[in-house]
Amino acid sequence: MTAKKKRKPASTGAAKARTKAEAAQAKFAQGIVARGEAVPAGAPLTRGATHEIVGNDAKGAPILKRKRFTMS
Amino acid sequence: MTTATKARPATKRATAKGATAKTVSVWMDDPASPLKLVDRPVPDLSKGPLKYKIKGAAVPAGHYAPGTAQFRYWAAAEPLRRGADFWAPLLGVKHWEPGAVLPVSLDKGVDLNAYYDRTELAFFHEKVGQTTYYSGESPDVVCHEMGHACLDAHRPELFDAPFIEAGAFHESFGDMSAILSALQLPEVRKATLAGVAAYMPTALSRCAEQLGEAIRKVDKTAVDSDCLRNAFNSFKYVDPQTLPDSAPATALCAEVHSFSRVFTGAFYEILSAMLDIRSKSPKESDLAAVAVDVARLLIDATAAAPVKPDYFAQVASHMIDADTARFGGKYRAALTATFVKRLILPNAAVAGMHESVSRGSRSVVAAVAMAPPASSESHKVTLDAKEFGLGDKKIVVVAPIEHKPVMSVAAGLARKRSGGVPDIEEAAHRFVKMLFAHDRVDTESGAKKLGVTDATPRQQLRKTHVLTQTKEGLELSRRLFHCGCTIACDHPR
Repeated sequence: MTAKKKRKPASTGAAKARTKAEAAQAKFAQGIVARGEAVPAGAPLTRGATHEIVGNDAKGAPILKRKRFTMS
Repeated sequence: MTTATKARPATKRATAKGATAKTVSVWMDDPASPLKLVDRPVPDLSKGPLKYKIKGAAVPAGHYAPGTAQFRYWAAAEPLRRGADFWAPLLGVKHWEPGAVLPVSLDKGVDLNAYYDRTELAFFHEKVGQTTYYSGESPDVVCHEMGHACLDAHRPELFDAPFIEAGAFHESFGDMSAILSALQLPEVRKATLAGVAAYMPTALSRCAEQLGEAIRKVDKTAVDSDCLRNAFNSFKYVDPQTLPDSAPATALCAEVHSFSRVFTGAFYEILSAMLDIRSKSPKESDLAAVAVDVARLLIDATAAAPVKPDYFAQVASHMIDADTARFGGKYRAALTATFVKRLILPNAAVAGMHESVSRGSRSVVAAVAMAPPASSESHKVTLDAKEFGLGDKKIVVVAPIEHKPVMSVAAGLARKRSGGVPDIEEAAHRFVKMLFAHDRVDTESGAKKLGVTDATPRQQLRKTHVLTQTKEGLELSRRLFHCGCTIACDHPR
């Protein structure tokens, strides 16, 4: 009797990539907020700010939208 | 920066006559650079395709003294025009991302900064100690922000990409834009040639010396010791996920300007290595030529590289593939050695690549036919030929999925990083698009081998790949590595 060989689900690679992208996105957003580079939507951009906080995701993390690139 | 002074008499003459001068006096790369003033033709900001409009009243062209508002107007206008004239033909865009004309605010208020926000380029002033600094007076700052706008016109998807490496690459592109725009001045090339050739710090590698000086007065740990950011650096790639959110300028952190120095450092080292490949005794014209070549690689790569968390590696691998497609691998050694040394690319992604035939004769070049056989370690990617103007057919591409990529470093990287077939397909698709974009595919002869004689049209030697009819469709395979620049062919530079 031969045991059926377990195959990895076809989506493993894609799921891994999604997880990595989500982690990268979270780290990016966390840094922007921690450095004070994000302001509430509609508020004037302060010195060094580059993003607006346009909402929060299901986990409560901020959703950011870039408003500009700065020199430093 | 600077204290206000009176305009030179020449200005008064020009104004009094109601006429304008034919040249303007501007900084070469930064007010605090050892490279000083240079006379330049009066720039036409309304010239397409990348047009500008400086807000406020226009200043008559003339030779104004540094420190005056009139001087600052032309000190910004000239590098704006020079930089856009450099990038426009490489980008192939017809307008800026926000529209036909990009507004410019030369003095938006008080800050030690500048920005591009899809509505304008904006520069600031601020008094620190006894000195008032104007960020728009520095060609480095101006061409950095203009670089953001150029990259946005070319690749708008990057603007709001929520990854550290995508944002950091945008910042790096700004600094690379400052370097490449400065290299459009013969005076800068002459002054920095020896330093670039020897891979040493130069006025070119030091970005925004004066703004760096101003910020250093406020916070001495916030910027490099001799400028805002120096492209001559030894930073190596580490996963930004593992970095702190903030750090002094002496260390890397996950902030995009800080992390950008990894890619800019690699770029400056590559520029030096490309110059060495081009000539062991380079002249100023060689530096001009490699500036264009490396810019082409950047534009090719950013056009093709998918926006992913590991964006530095994506751009790096696509630069190597672009070099293969465009220059026959002429600069491969410079690119691979630097990207691997800086840990931007894993050695496995470039191992086994075939060396380019940079010194070969015409016949040797033609003999380097590369048609990787399909095997269990390759994956057949089927593309719609309609996309490439070839009607209702299929193009079959044999993409390598082993750790020794033959056709594409990007495909090899995708395999290494994810192991997923979808990534291989995406990378192969982008590679094929790049080949067609550069007219590298022979769609007519169906001949896998090309007999080269003196009578062979140079145009034929540019076709590195050929489509041959198979049962499954049109199969794409490599026919030769292009000769690069070692023979007098007429491939686009």
